[in-house]
Formats: sequence, structure tokens, C-alpha cells
Amino acid sequence: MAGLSKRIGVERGVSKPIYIAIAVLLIAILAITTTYLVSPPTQTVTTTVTSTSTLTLVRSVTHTVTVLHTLAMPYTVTNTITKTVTYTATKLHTITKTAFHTTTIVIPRMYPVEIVDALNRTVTIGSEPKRVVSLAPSITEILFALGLGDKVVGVDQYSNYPPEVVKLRKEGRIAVVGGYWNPDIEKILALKPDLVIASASVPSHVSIGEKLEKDYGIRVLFLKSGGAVTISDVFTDIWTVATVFGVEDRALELILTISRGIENIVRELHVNTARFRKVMILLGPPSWGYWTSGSGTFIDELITLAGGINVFSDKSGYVQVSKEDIVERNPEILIVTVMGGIEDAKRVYDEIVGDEALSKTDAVKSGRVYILVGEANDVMCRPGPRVVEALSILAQIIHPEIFGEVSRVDVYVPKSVKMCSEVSIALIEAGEVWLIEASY
Amino acid sequence: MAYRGFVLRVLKACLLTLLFLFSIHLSLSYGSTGYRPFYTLDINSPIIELRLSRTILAILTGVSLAVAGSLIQVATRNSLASPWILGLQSGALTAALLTMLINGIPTRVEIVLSAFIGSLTAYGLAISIASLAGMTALSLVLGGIAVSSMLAGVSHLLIYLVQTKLRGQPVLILFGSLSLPSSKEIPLYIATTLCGVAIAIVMWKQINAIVLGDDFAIQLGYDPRLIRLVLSAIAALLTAASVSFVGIVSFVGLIAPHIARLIVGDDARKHLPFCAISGALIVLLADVFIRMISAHSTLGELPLSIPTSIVGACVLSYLIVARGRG
Repeated sequence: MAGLSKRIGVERGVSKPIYIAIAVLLIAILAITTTYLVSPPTQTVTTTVTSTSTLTLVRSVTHTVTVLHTLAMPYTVTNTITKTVTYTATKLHTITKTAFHTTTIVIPRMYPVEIVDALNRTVTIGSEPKRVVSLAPSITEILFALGLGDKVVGVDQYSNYPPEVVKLRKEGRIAVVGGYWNPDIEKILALKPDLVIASASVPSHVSIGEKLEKDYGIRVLFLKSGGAVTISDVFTDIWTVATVFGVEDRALELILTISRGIENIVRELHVNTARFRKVMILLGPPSWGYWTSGSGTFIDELITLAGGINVFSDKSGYVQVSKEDIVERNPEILIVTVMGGIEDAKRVYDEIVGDEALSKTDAVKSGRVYILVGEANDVMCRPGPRVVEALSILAQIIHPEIFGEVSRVDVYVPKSVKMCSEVSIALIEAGEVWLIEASY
Repeated sequence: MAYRGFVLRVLKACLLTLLFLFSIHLSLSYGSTGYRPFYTLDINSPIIELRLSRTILAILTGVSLAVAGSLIQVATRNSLASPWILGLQSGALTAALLTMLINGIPTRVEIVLSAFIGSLTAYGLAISIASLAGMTALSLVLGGIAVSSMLAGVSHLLIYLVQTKLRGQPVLILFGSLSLPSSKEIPLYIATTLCGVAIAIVMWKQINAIVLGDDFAIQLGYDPRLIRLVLSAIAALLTAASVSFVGIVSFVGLIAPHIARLIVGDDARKHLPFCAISGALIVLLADVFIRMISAHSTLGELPLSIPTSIVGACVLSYLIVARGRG
């Protein structure tokens, strides 16, 4: 026993470190297996798709930084963003989150804010508005595009975008305060708003706004809205709304997206050296009189951007023209905006074909008449966040050879044109382009 | 003396014809794109087509309203009567709009027919109100005003109801405009107007008899009541045609007969053609004025009744004063 023990003792003297080593090894194995079982190994499986998406995200963040600099914002913001950029290398999920995170924090708005609105008045906003009434569809669209939809309590009758508005209207969470041209002051007051956003171009908005401010002490902010003439007017509107609510970051993102969309279309036109085509816009069916938009209107700007020439650009504003004017200007393309559905469009098309003056133009003769109804009509008349959509519709109408034939349910194209273009596409594909030229 | 009268008449006729031709020239040369003489325009240009159809419409409107006015004045023996004052025009418009409301999209012939019935009904109403009040000149005019105001109200209501089906702006329909009809509808307009004017001219003997007095007509073997009925029916047809194509054009039917009466007197053989020409002249010049305005304005077409009623109201007040004195 003693010998044994001695032997063990001897052995102990020798093998003590071995035992310790074995124990340590065992513990290590145990620890590793348990850690392996408890938390999976840090396998960073990064697909190429995700990595590219992060790249763009990071880029957009740096964008924000530069613009914030020009706006003389505190330097701290930039710090947080550089942090996130370093994170990019380590973990993907965190970047995406922090990237969004940084965009949402950007400096809490300090109230009161002073804003110069579209009527050149200085409007002081004492605290963040919580109950907002919008008097124009484009204003509603801006509010929702900036994620301020939860603050909207009242809209005008024509506000129907985004679909959320329609849903909220049906649920009764957003009230209708009257038409665009004639909002009802009583309905507005009943909603107890702390901010009413109105259009400076509508006379009734200006008079009601004055009443609301002087008699009832409700803040009214005027935007260019329907009176917007250029894309930058739309940007100004978006920015003005954003400054009221302190969401300039979202506004920047929105403005950047819009301007990129416009840039794409314009670049495409430039690359393809598109010829400017003579376009006439007809607002409403011809039986309402030949209303068209001259220069200094939003549609005129859109037509020019989409590679067209408005034949009535020598007139200014929304004007009525005569039969002789139309025949003399002889547009190549006729775009008609009509309220209602596709059945109305067909009726209006019949009316146009039977019209004395319009039927004499090249546009109607060659069947290049496009009737915009429903949403296509809305985007064309509303200088709001959906301007890229309007522009792309116009670009497709004016230059189908570059952007492809327009195919939307809310754009009525007479059958003959479609067939014609299908034939020509087939011919081009068959390499028989000369045939078309010969037929002309 | 007779010789001198003949020369005077020839001179007057020449002058009126010259004026007529001149205003046709103006109408072809003045457009909403400015003054360009028609002979400088390309003959194939669609502008010439537009102006030509407009000129024809102006002549037709003037002729139909002037002859209608003349016949109405003969039939009622009242120089203040006119299709507008007696409510024939608003009656025609009301009936036409009613057809539109019931029928949806009626054809032009249907509209003209219903307008005819409407204007005849309005005329009947005005006459019966006047005869209830003793058939004096004043009661006829007042009864006519009552009927025309009532029917105007009804037609405004109907315009509100059918506003989506209307071809043309309500204001242009209510105050008349030559831009409303398209050139394809001109044949029907010509047919109706020619028909009415032809019957009226064929009936010159009867008209003259009536003008000289009922007793005279009876002596000649005519039935004055029948003649009155036929004359007012023709007037209603002419009014209906003008209303259903160009809307309500006021005062032309009142002034034109008076101008003709001043120049050639009451003899229907001379009176009716002169009346037609002077009516055409008035509408042509009024339309030229409108196109001059619209060449410089961006607000669209001016209604035709605006120049005619401004001038016509002055003439009407002159007539009232002259009547009161003489």
C-alpha cells in the first residue's frame, strides 16, 4: 500500500503536471464544446449581394454628412457616422441598423422655429405640430412621404395618395375638410388643428388662412403646392414641411431620390440625343374649352424635362386657346388629362377624333393621343413627391423609342397606335427597318 | 319721283350688299390667331376651313334669328316682340336640355325637333298669358318676360343636371357661341334655316295682308288666325335651329327687323330679304369683334350675346323712347 502510495507519490511527483495538463485539456475541450453548443461559431457568411447593399448605404450616409455640413449642423453627427463606417468591416447587421439609427437621431428640433413660407411671411412654430390639416393633395402626399402621416387629421376632398390616406379616411381617422378650391372653415376648426398647411396659389386658401390666423389663432403655413412651377419649388415645399417637424434628414433622402430619378431620365435623353417633339397638353375634354398649360406651369416644366416642346409655351399660365391656335401650332403629340376612369377616356377620345380643330393636327391624324386618367392624371397635376412618376410617363409618351411604349392602366392609348408600334417593333426585330422608312 | 325712289332703293341695296361682302371678308380674315387676309392664306390650310365654317354659321344664325324676329313681330303685331323677349329661345333650350336629360346623347335632328316643340310651347304660354291680360302690347311683352325668365331658370337647372353630357361650356350655350357646332353639322342647319326662310318668303302675300290688318286679310280670303299660327311655327322652327346649334343669341331677332323696316319698309317682299341680310351682318360683325378679343385674350371664347346685347339694348331703349313719343 505504502509502496503503492509511494509509487503513486513518485508517480505524482512526475505526473502531476501531466494530470494538470490533461485536466486543463479536458476543461478546454468541455469549454469549447459548450461554447460551441451554446453559441455557434462566428461564421461570417457574407453574400456578395448584402455587401453591395451595405456599400450603397454607407455612401448615402456620407452624402448626408456633407449636406449636413453645408447646413452648419453640429459636428457630433459626423462622429457617429464615422463610427458606423468602422463597424462595416466587422458585422453586417449592426451597420444597417446603426446606419438607420444615425439617420433618425439627427439633432432634435429646437422649437420655436421660424419659417418663411410661400407667401413670404415669417411663420413661427412654437412646438411640434400634432394635429395637421392639409388643404391640397400634393401637401398630403408630401406629409406622408416624410413619414408624418400620423399627424394628419384632415385633408381636402381630392387627397387620395398614398392609399393609406384613403384607408384612414374610410376609417374616419382623417376627416375631409371640403374641396380643394373651397375648403370649409367650420370643418377645419372642428378638427382643432395646431397647423394648417395650405396652397398659396389658391385664393380661397389665402382668405381662409387669414381668417384662421387672425380670428382663431391657428398657425397656417403656405406652400407653393399647385402654384409650383419648377422641380425646385417642389423641393422647397418638401424642405419647408420638413423644417417644421424637424425631419430634414428624411427630406434630404426624399429630395435625393427624386433628383436621382429625374437625372436618370434626363441623362437617358441626352445619351440618345433625342429630338424634341411638339407636345400639346389638353386639360379636360375639348367640350370644356381648349384649356392648356403655357409656360410657367408645372406640366410645361415636366414636358421640357421629358424631351418635348410645349406648343403653347409662348403663353403663360393655364390658358384657353382657340381652334385656330391649335391648328396652326399643329402638335405631334396630344396629351389629355381627364378626371375619371378609362371609360371616360374612351369617350373623350371619340370626342377628340370628332373635334373640328384637334382632328386636323398631326397628333390625332397619326393617332398619337394619350389620355391620362386616374392616378396618371393625379401625378401630372400635383407638384408633389411623385414627380418622377409623372416625368417617366411623359418621357415614355414623348420618346417611346428610348423609354418603351407606355403601358399603364390609367393611360388610354388608341388601338391604332399600339398596333402600329407593335408592327414597327416586329419589323425592327426582323431587320426590315427600311420598310417603315419607305412607307413614310 | 318714282325714278328717284328707285335710285335710292338701288343705292341702299348696293350699300347693304357691299357692307355684307365686306363683313364676310373681315370674318374670313380675322381669326383668333390675328388678322391675316384670307387670300394670303394657303387654300389647303385648315385655318381657312375653320374660318369659312364659322362665317357660314354666323350668316345662318343671323338669318334665322332675324327672320324669326320679323315673323314674330308680324304675328303679334308688336314691334317689341322678339324670339328672345317672348321666351322662344329659353323654351327651345329647355326642351333641348330636357331631351338630353331623358335620352342621354340625342342626335342633332332630335335636339332641333325638341327645341322646336319647346319654343312653340313657350310662345303659346306667352300668348295665353297676354290674352288673359287683354292682349295689349305691354301685356304681351310682360307675359313674354315672365315666361322667358321662368324657362331660363328651368334651363339653368337642367344645365346643372346634364353638365357632364354637354358638348360645350355652359356659359357659351347660355349666351351663344359660333364655336359650339362643328362643320359637319352645317348642312342640317342650312336645311332648317332655308326651309323656314323659304316658307316665309313664299307667304309674302299673307304676311302683307296681316300687316295691313286682320280685316284686310279676311277681305282677301285669308284666315288671320291660321296665318298667325303658321308664321309663329316658322319663327319657332328658325329659333329652335339657332338655339340648338349656337345657343341663345339675344337681341339679333329684335334689331334686324327694325333696321330692315327703316330701310325698305314693311313690304314683305323686300323686308324679309333685307331683314335676313341685316341679321347676318349683325352676327358677322359681332363674331369678328369676338375673334378680335380672343386673339388678345387667354381666357377663351367670348359668348356671342355679349356684343349683340350691348348694342341691342341700346337699340331697344331707342325703340321704347320712339314708341312712347310717337
